[in-house]
Amino acid sequence: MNEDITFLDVMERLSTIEADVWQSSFDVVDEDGIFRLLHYHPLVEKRYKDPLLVVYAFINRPYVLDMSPDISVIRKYLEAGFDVYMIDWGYPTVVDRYIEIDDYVDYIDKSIDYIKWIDEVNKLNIHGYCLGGDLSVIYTVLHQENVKNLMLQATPIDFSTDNTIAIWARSLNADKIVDTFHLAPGDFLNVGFLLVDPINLLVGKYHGVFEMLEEDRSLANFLRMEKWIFDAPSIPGETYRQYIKEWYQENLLMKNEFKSHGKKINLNEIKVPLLVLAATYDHIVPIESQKVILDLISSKDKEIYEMKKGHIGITTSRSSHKEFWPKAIRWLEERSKKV
Amino acid sequence: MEEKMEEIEDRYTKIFDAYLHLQTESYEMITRNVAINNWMRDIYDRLKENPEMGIDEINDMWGDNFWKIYENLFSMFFRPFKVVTYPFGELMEAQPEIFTPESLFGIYSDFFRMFGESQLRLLKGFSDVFKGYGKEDDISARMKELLPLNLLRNMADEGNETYFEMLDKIFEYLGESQFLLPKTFFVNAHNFSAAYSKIYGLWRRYELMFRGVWEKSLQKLASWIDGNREAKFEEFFNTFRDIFSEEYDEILRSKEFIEAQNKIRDALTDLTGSAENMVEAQMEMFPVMPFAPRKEVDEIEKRVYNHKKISNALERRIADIEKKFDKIPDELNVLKKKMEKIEVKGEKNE
Repeated sequence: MNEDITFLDVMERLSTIEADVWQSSFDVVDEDGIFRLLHYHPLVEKRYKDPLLVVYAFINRPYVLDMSPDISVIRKYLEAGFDVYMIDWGYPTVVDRYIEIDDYVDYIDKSIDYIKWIDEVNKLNIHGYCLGGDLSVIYTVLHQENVKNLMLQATPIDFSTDNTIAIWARSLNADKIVDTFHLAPGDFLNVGFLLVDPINLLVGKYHGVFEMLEEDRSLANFLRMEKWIFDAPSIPGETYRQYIKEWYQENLLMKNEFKSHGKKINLNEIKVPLLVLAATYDHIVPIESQKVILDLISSKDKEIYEMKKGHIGITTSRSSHKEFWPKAIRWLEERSKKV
Repeated sequence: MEEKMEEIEDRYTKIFDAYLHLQTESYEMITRNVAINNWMRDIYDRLKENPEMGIDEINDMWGDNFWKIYENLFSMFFRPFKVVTYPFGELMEAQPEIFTPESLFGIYSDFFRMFGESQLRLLKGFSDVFKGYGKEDDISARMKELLPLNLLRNMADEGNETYFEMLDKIFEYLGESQFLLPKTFFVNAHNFSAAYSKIYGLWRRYELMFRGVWEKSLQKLASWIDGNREAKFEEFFNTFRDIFSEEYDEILRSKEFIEAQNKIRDALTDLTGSAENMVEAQMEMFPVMPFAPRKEVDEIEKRVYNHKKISNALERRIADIEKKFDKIPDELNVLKKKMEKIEVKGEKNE
C-alpha cells in the first residue's frame, strides 16, 4: 500500500475480521480453583494407546497452540490420532497469590492421575511449552514412572543467558513487587516483553499489517496473535517470587538445586525419551538455554529438532507447520504404542 | 445537513465497532501506527521533493514528525509515569521559565492540598460518626490540620516558623486523637510523599535516556539518507526500523538503563504500597465502613490456601488407600484359588 492510509479505512477493515481462538472443541474434565484440565474431542479414530498431556507456561494463554484452523499444533496431534489433554492455568487474581510452583506440579500430578484412571493407562506423553516445560521436567523427576515420552518446546533450563529479558529479570526486586502487588500483573509483564524490542514490536509489526489489508486470512491471523499477546494473565505472587529468585537469579534448576515437595530436582534422574523442540532465534529463551538439558539428563534416547524461528514463531508460523511439526509428531508416533 | 449527520453517525459507528472488536491495546497501537505511517510517508515525500537537502536541513525538516512518532511509540510505556508525575510534567512543559525551586514547591504542595481536600470531602461523608466527639465543624478543622500534606503547604505559604508551630500542634493532636487517624496513616503518608517526590526526578532521567537514543538514531538515519537518495519508501522505512532497533537494544541492555529502570519501578512500588496502607489505615478507623482491609482478606486467603493444601494431601492419601483396597479382591481370588488347589491335593492324598 503506497498511499497515505486513513484511520477510518483501517478500523473499518479490521472490524470486519473475526479473530476467534481456541479452534478445536474440548470438554473441561476437571477444575481446581483457576486450573482446568481440558480433553480435546478426537478428529480421527484413536491410533495411539498413550494419551498426550500438553502443559503450557503460567505466562500467557495456552490457546496459542490452537490459534487458527490451519495453524494448530493441537489439531496436528488430533489428526495423528492422539488422545489429547491440555492444562489451562487460568487467570490468577490476588486471591491466588499464595499459589507456588509446587501447586502447579501438584495439578499436573492430579491431571495425570485422572487421565491414567479414565484411559486405563500406566503412562502418558507430556509436551511442555516454555515454562510449562520446566514444570514438566520437575514432574518427570518426581514421578518418572508415569511418563512415557517427554517433549520440551522452547523450555529455559539455564537462566544465566545474556538476552535482555534475562538481564532485567536478574536485576528485579521480586520481593518488593510481590509484597506490594501480591501478584505480577499481566500488563506489567507485557510491558516488559514489548519494551525488549520496542521498534519492531510497536511499529514494525503494525507497518506490516497495513501492507496486508486486502488479505482476510493474514489479517485474521494477525488479530488472533494480537488477542493472544495482550491477553496476558497475571502470575500468582509466590510463583513469581520463586520464578524470578530461584530460576533467574539463582539458576537453581540448572544446578540441580531447585526444591519441589522437599526434594532436590536432579535432572540427571530423568531417563525417559526426550525431544527438545528448539527455536533458533528465540530472544526470550535463547537456544543455548533450551539445549543444555540434553547434557544434564541420563536418557539414552534424546534428540533436538531445531527450527529457524522465534519463541512464538515456532508454534504459529506456517512454515513450522509444513515440516517441523510433522517431524516432531513422527518422533512421538515412533515411540508410542498403537491401539 | 442531514447527509452530513448521517456521515458523522456512520463514521462514529464504524470506529466504535472497531473499538469494541479489537483488543484495547491493539486498537491503541493501530491508531497510533496509522499516524506514524503517514508521518513517515510525509517525511519520505519531502525528501524526494528536495533531493539537494544537506544533513542539517534534513534534520530540521523531519524533526517535528519524528518527535511525534517518538511520543506515539513510547506512550504505552510512559503512561504510568506520566500519570504519577502529573501535574509536574504538564506544568513544566507549559511554562518552563517560571519554575524555580520555590514555585515548584508551591505546585507540589498545591497538588497535595487538592489530594488532602478530596480526602476531607470523603471524610465528611462519615462525619456523623464523629458527632459524638464534638461539633462537626471543629472536627473538620481538626482533621484538616491533621492532614500531613497541609503541613507542606503551610511551609511554603507561611514560612518555617508557622510550620514548626503547626508541627508541635499536630504532635499534640497525635497524642490525644488516636481515634481519628492511626499512626500507620501518618507513617505511610510520609512514605507516600517521599516516594512521590523521588519519582519525578527519576522519571526525567529515565525518559532522557530514551530521548538520547532517539536523537542519536536520527543522526544515523540522516547519514544513511545522504548516501541513499534513491531509496524507495520501504527501504527507507526498514532502515529506520533497523537503525533504531539496534540503538535501543544497546541502551536497554546497559547497566545505566537497568539501574534507572529499577529505581523508578521501586519508587512506583513504594508509592503504591504506601497509598494502599494509608487507605487501609483509614478503613480501619471507620466503624461504618463494613469492609475488611486487604491484610485481613489476605489472612483469610492464606488460611483457605493452607486448608486446601491439607485437604488435597488427604484426598491423595485416601485415593492411595482406595487403590490398595481395589487390589484386595484380586489378591483374595489368588488366595482362594491356592486354597482350592491345596484342598484338591488334600482330597487326593486322603
